[in-house]
Amino acid sequence: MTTPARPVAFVTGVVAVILALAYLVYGGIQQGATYWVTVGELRHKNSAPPGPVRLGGTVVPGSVAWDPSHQHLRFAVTDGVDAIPVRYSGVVPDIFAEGRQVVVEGRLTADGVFAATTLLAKCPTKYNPADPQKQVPG
Amino acid sequence: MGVVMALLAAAAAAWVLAPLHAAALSAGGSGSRAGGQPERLRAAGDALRDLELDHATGKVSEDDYRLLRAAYERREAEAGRASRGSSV
Amino acid sequence: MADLGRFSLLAALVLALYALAAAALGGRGRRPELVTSAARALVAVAALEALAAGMLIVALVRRDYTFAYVVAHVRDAQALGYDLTAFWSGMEGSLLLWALILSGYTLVAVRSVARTRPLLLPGVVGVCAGVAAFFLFMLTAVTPPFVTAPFPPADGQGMNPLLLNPWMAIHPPTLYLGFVGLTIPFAVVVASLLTGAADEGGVLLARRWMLWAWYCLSMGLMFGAKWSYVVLGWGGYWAWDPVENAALMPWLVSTAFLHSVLIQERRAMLQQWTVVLVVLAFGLSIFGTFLTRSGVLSSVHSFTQSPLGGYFLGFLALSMVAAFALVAWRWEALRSEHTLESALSRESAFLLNNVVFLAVAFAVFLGTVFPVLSEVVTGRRMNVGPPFFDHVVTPLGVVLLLLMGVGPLLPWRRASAASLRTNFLAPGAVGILLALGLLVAGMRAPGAVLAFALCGFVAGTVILEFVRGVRVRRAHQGDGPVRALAALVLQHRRRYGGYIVHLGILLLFCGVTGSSVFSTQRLVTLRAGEAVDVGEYRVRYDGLRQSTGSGALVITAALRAFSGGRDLGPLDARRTLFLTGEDSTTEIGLRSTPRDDLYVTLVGWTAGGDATLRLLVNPLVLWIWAGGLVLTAGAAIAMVPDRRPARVREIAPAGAWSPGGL
Repeated sequence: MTTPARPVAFVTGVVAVILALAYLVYGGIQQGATYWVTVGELRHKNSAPPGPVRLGGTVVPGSVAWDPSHQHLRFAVTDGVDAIPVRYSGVVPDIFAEGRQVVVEGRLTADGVFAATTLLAKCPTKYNPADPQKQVPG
Repeated sequence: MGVVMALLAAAAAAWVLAPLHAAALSAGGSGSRAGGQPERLRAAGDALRDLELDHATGKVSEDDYRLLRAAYERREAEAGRASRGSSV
Repeated sequence: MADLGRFSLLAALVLALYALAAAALGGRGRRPELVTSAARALVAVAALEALAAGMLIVALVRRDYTFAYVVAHVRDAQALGYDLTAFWSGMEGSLLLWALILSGYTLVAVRSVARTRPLLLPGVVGVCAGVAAFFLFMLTAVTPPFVTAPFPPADGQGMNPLLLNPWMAIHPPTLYLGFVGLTIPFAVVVASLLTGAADEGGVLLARRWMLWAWYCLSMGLMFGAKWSYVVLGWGGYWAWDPVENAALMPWLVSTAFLHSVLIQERRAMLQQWTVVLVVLAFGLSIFGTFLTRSGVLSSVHSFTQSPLGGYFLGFLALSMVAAFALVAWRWEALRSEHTLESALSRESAFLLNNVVFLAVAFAVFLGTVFPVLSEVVTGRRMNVGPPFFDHVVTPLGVVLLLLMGVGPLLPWRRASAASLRTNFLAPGAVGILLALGLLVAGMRAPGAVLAFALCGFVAGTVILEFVRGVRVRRAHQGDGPVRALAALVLQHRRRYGGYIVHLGILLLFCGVTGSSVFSTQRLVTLRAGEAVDVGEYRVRYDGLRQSTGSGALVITAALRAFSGGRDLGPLDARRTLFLTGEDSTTEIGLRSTPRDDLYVTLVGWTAGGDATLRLLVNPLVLWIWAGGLVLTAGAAIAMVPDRRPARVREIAPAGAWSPGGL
């Protein structure tokens, strides 16, 4: 049984949508993609990629300093081995605290401090295994 | 606690396996045929009512209306026949 | 007691595996007694899961700290209501909830299928048993809820205080009702494929279940957005977080299904596509559960952080490979009667709508798994944030908006120029007038003007549909307008319920456009007595108040809002610092009007009584919540079944399975 050909105009429409999607996705990636880096990679600067990066790690206890009059936050982030100082200006999420996991987006400046433009803290107890013996990965 | 678990297990097993014991009555009936399906009948009825509304509000041309109406009525008849099992 | 709980889950696992085997053997060998036995096994599974859940709830309510789960989620100072919600706030409990909801749905589905489509029963029982077995396996071997410790601590850790909120209490169970609800249509479709797919692949039967799942997912997504807006205090309601996307993707695919199944019913087209959508929706619901459980994509670390992820992915891969293999096997049997005839018809608009929905779902998927994908492809892990999603999804959303207006008004089969004129002239005029009006009023953002104009156009088309329908009814029945409207909606519930859903989407669209494009923000530090202007409001900071109670320190910034000199009342914003641990929560100062929201967060303060405040004016946010309400109401209307009792049942030859004995 032969199937009648679908209207050309319609196939064109579908192809147009797919092409538009590809174009949009490509543009979106160009605009918005950031590399993930680790503290170790930033410390040993040769392997860090250019442009804004995302850095994840744990907030070092005792390193947090908050200046309320200028909304400046300074703290250090560690991957368990190395640590890097971070400075951030803006709203600090409620979950942010010492010993908690945090993700910052920004650039490493010439003075070795990571200037963060975005600060995200991870909710530690929300959807993780309820095992008190488990170490919070750092 | 062990007694409770054993009792639970036994009760569940008994209830679950009972149909297998009672299977002696069943003849080896084969020949499954997909009979009418009630949702097909409902769908055909829905389609007819919707078509009437579409026609009344001018969203179907006269020719298409006649064509579609015939098709839906045919479908409804088939689904109704199959449901009554007259062909079995 | 823990022993009983563990035993219940283990026994349930054994029974589920038995049910899977029995249903498979019974279906293949045409032995109805095996199928009945399998169905009974699933009833027993439900009872055992309920028993285990009951044990867990009792432990939570009694604050039995010998259970590790209770220690992790309950604290003496926590309110009892939230002790109950702790049941699903942790991993193990939420998997148990998943399994329990699945059992509930299974019981209903088995009864209904046994009564009306007994041919499909082995398949449905088998699939439900298989999925249940997976979750029970996770609950017995990988993430057991009944882990105990010999020396219980004096107090538990309690839930994160951000979760102690009514919206967060109902959000997970509602979402789960949706996620799990996608399993039943999947089971029906697989059963149909296994038995020859002579019945449109089972999609007609699956439709009701998909609509229900869609309904729950919609509500779950709205609750989550509301929680994000009101509790997290960042001023937004949607962050394109992997966990949010996890729920959005199955919602998008279900929406596509609800449209394509209509084409299937009316024009016997797109059968293969519709079946694929059901399989895809189920796959995305498992993937979504995996995303929210394993934390894989929010983390910096390697692919699977916990063994949980591996099992989920394995199950997902297995079920998808098997299901698609089945679809491929029955591909020819699923071929539709008709194909598309004209590029300009309701069918083509619906099909285009489906393509775009899938495109959005694909884009969201791509953005969500981008870190993993980029690492595999380029060796470096990369991330895409909200800008990516906004950039890709917004134009596609606008196309969907246009289709929403155009689709229902296009004729079936073929649209003529005359029909286009009659249908689109008035709404088109509304859209254009609205655009001109907005431009004249000073709105300059082209995207926003386009979006609002399109909303006007679509609203025009929907209202036109109502008006026409009422007119027809009055002409035939001579009812008054109100009666005609009510009768119209009740007689054509799917259609007019659907139109009401579209109206809800319109409100949502306007709300999202308004708050995304026209929101204003200020971040300031004020001394007591100082005021700040934001938008057309002026907010005065009157000083800091402090209070303690139930283990928490509450800092309140006393604020007062004014607009054009008029006193609008207090607008306090507070932070609560929990003295146990380092948690804190925010209570925003919020003043909502249909026009905009005035939204204040207390960011920080000094010992000297200065307060750092973040102020936002978000236009039209109320329209988003209103839109959510309207769309759930529309879905509820569409779901009401016919009063016409479908007393017809599938005639299966004597000697085949009879549902008696269930």
